[in-house]
Amino acid sequence: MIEVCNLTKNYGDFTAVSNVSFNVKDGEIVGFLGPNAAGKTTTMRVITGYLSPSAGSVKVDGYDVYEQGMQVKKIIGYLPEKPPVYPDLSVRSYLKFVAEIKGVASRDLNKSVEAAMEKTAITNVAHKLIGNLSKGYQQRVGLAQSLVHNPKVLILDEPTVGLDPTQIIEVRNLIKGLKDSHTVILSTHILPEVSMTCSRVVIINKGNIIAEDTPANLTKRMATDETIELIVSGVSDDKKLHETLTSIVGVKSADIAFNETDKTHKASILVKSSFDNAPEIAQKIIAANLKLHKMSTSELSLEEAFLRLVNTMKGDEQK
Amino acid sequence: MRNIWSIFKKEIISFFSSPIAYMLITVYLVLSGYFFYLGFVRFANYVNMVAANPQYSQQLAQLNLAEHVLRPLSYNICIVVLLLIPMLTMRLYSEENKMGTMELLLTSPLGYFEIVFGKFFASLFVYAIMMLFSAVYLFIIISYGKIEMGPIITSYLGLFLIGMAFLSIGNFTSTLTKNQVVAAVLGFGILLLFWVLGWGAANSEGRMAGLLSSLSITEHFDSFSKGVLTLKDIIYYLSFTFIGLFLTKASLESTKWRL
Repeated sequence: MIEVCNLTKNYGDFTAVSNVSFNVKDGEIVGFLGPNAAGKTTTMRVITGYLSPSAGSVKVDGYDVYEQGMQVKKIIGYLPEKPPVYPDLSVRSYLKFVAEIKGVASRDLNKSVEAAMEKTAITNVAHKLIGNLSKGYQQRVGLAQSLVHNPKVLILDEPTVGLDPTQIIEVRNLIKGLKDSHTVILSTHILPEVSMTCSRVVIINKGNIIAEDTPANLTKRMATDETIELIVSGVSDDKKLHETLTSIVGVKSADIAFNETDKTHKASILVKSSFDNAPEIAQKIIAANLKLHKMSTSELSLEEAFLRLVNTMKGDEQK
Repeated sequence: MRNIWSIFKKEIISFFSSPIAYMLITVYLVLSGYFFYLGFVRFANYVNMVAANPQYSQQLAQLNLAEHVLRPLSYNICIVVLLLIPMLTMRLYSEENKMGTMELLLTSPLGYFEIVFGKFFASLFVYAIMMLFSAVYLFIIISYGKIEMGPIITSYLGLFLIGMAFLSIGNFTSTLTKNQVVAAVLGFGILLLFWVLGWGAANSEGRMAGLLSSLSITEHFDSFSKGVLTLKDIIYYLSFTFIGLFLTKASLESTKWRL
């Protein structure tokens, strides 16, 4: 349904997206995962035809986004990061306006507006001015806007931002309900969100695709990761320390950074289980005649886990 | 066509659900009403004075409302409009740029010209309402004095055409920014420049003088206020408007490439 081929987008000297390729099949829900400024929004904007690619091509339903933009725009529903609403219109007249410019036939207008409001549970505020609604409601109006013409393809940029927990669950269920009948790309930086709604995840960082995987595989990888942090001094050879640490069974990787001010080395070690590995690590450090200043274990927060994953996957690719 | 109508409706709702349109129409009516009052009273006094002196009877015959009331009034209205139009158009695009709704418009199956015309016609509609309200002055003139209809119609046509030209520039400058004030100031600057362009003709010679005066936006208004329709002046305003709208479209199109 969506074919992104070697897509590159530069803003002046800055490359926001570099040589990205991926496919989304019909009826699939794909999560676009990445930290802020990873290039998620830029990629989505190119798919929707809002921006032109610097290089590469994007095809939606067989139409080239750049060459046949009109055809593509007809079948895409798009929710940008900030819901594109007019504060001085009422919810109903806003949705009617959107349905009109999206090309919904006049006789279906009311029906599709009501349906979109029902799906997003905003019928009770239909007559209110959008400017007077809370952020959560505005977000849902934005979502209703993307659904109003019943598009084949939905591009949702962080659809659950600004919603309260119950609303988040509602929106996730709504998105899950779109599976099979719609093709969905949604972006997020919240990991559980993808595992709950998406059938496939594309991980993007600094404009590059780092991994494509199913959420199940992804969470499995995350769940087993823990870190041990060490602060040591008296290190004469970084590489040797690195070797010593990585030679321990159970250690996945180690990052060593030198701190100029207090002449210490900080090592972040990714392990399977900190409980099993900590004693051996401590022994090795002592045996190497290094001074151990601090040793702490931490379970990865989701954000850290994500960054780890980003780093390890980069390492894998290089090998 | 339907898309233009959708955009037009939406803009009209926005205009009249915010205080902007009401404010502009009110300010316009107060100012133009004052100018009308001044012109009318001055004319009445002058007529009385001339009528009291039999030796001026020849001049009395030459006095007429179209020449001495309507003509200065339409010039004054032009100045008022020059000030007000950038404020009428300033939010049209800049607000969309700021609110992120431009992303909705540009990812919808709309042609660029459909957006441009929808918005332009909406601003023209508000402008036409302003002009329509000022028809009150004409009723007063017509009911208390004798006046030829010719100059009235051409003056109105002139005001309508000059308004279109102003609006097109206002629309254009609004696409360039997220900030309404920037849009208004820039629009006003460009319009004022075209307004005073003709003044430079006095200091230049030959071709340059001709060029400056034929580019000047006021120079072309003269014939309308005299009650004469000249094709050249109509074409000037229409092409001015067209260029303004074309620039608006080009600027919209370029959002794809900048950021």
